[in-house]
Amino acid sequence: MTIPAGSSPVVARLAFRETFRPGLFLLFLGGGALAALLPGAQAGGRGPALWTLAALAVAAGLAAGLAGPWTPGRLFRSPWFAAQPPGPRAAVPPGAAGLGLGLLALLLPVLILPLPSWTALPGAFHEEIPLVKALFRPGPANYLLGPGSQGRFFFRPGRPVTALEILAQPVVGPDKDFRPAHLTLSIQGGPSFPLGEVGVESRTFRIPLDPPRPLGEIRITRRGGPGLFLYLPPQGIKALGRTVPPTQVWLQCGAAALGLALFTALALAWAGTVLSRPAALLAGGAWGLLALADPLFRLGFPGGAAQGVAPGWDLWGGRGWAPFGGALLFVLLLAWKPGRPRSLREAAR
Amino acid sequence: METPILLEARGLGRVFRAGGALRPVEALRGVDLQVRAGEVTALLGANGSGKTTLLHCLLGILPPTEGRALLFGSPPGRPEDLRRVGFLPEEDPPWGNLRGREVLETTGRLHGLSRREAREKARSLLEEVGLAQAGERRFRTYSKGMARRLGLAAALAADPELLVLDEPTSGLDPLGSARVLERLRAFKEAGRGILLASHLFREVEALADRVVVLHQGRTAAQGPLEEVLADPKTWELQVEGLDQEGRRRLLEEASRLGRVVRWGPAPLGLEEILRRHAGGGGQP
Repeated sequence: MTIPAGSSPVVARLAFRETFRPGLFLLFLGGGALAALLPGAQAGGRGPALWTLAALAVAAGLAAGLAGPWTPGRLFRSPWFAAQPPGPRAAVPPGAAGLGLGLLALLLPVLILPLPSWTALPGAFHEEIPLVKALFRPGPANYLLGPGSQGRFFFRPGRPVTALEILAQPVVGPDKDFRPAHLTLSIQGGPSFPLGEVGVESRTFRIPLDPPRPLGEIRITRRGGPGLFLYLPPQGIKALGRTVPPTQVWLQCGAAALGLALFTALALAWAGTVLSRPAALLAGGAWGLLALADPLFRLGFPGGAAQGVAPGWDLWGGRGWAPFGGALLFVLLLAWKPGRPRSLREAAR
Repeated sequence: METPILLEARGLGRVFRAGGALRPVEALRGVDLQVRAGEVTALLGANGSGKTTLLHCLLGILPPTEGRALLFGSPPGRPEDLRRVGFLPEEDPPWGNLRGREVLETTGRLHGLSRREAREKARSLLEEVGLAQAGERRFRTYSKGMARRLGLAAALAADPELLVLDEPTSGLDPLGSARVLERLRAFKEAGRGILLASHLFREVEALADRVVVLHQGRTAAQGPLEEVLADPKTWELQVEGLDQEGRRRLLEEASRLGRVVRWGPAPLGLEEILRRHAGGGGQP
């Protein structure tokens, strides 16, 4: 079905007009200002700021979904609109565009106002969440108790690593045997090579990788020193990469928050367009949870972040596409309403 | 020569699935009708008889589960055909945030009018339906009657060839109804077609050429207005200027020729009362 010439901008404008409400905009403006003033954002602490960002994204998405697109949702599924020349199906792309623009305009203050306080603080927000920290997935704590014992650590493959940092902490055993333990390292199932020895003091090994390469699994094996336990804390095994400029971090966070807030609202709007209000709220709630979870998975839970550990889940790469694709599929399934004609021929039967 | 058929239903049926076990509910079955240019076809039926479902099937809003609908000779839903139709649904569209003028301009633009044409048409229609003063108000502030008038104006926004109206005078006062019916009569006399769904006999009598009576989703009766709605054995006569003696003689003669069913002065009705006592104010 083709949309009649000139109808698209009208539909888009209608969707924008019904989405962007001056009163709601003022509400978001206040929310953005509040976020900029929040102690978490001001102090530059990653945890509070991240929580603020995530919470704002969800709140903005849900609020916009409920208050904004709800009316276009009702309008676009009304019998009146179905009888207008574009037809409901042909009106979907321009309607979505208008809705998206309306939401973007609504949410801009929430996303832009806190920006200066987050990015202007040196050494705080952005340095806490460089991508290198998202590379590491925590494994079990490893005690290398006796000769031959082995610790295995897993990294999310994909992103090249320039260096490895390994912290080994000795734990004195009951027999008080302080002879040093020798460690060897094997990367990706390759040959083992000596790493060095650890005595009664903690030691950090730094292994440069030139050229940089992605990591999968590393194994650290103990070769001697029977009386000394060695503890390899997961957060002490780090894969180092290039540092990330603050702008990139902001763009990534902003894109994630904006995208998820928009998706929340869009999902709600589309569900409202094709389904009932409870179903739309369910969809919005699911999206809200995803919106809340995603930045945390991408950037690390506050607790884990304090230890320098973040689960390796990235929206833009690797396994991140799974939730993204799944969510899209969810929306499509919602849109597939039984009994609705899928073609003109079917409608004519 | 027969006038062209604008809208047609051939054996149209629609089954809904309802309830926890998705029990089939037959909303329509085997309905045939035609709407021709220059004619008004009325769908008459009680609430729940299937009028609205039929209109939705005819416009492609709902797919029929049996039979077929033809809008200007094609399956409904083609944008080029929908451009030639003005539709007033039973429930007011959720235009809430738009101003009255914007509703009409948007509708005109959706139907292919230029921005300027849509603006001019909106202005004239707002005047025509008595909403010129309310054109800048948001739709959500309109009363039921105002919303109905705006809906009718929106249906007329792009000079359609066919009007499909679901209870067009619902919520209007008698004077407003009369003005709407007058406007629709003019539309018909301009050679265009109207499909009108209503449960109001008076509205149908005043406007329709053909009537389809729906009962529980099936056609109970169908044909020209006078055949379907009039009882050929019972006649009404309204006489003006009779004095007491004249009334006595008329009653005597009528009683001699047949059985008098009702006798008394003609009721005025709210419309006439307002016209006589309130100077004929009101809007369509």
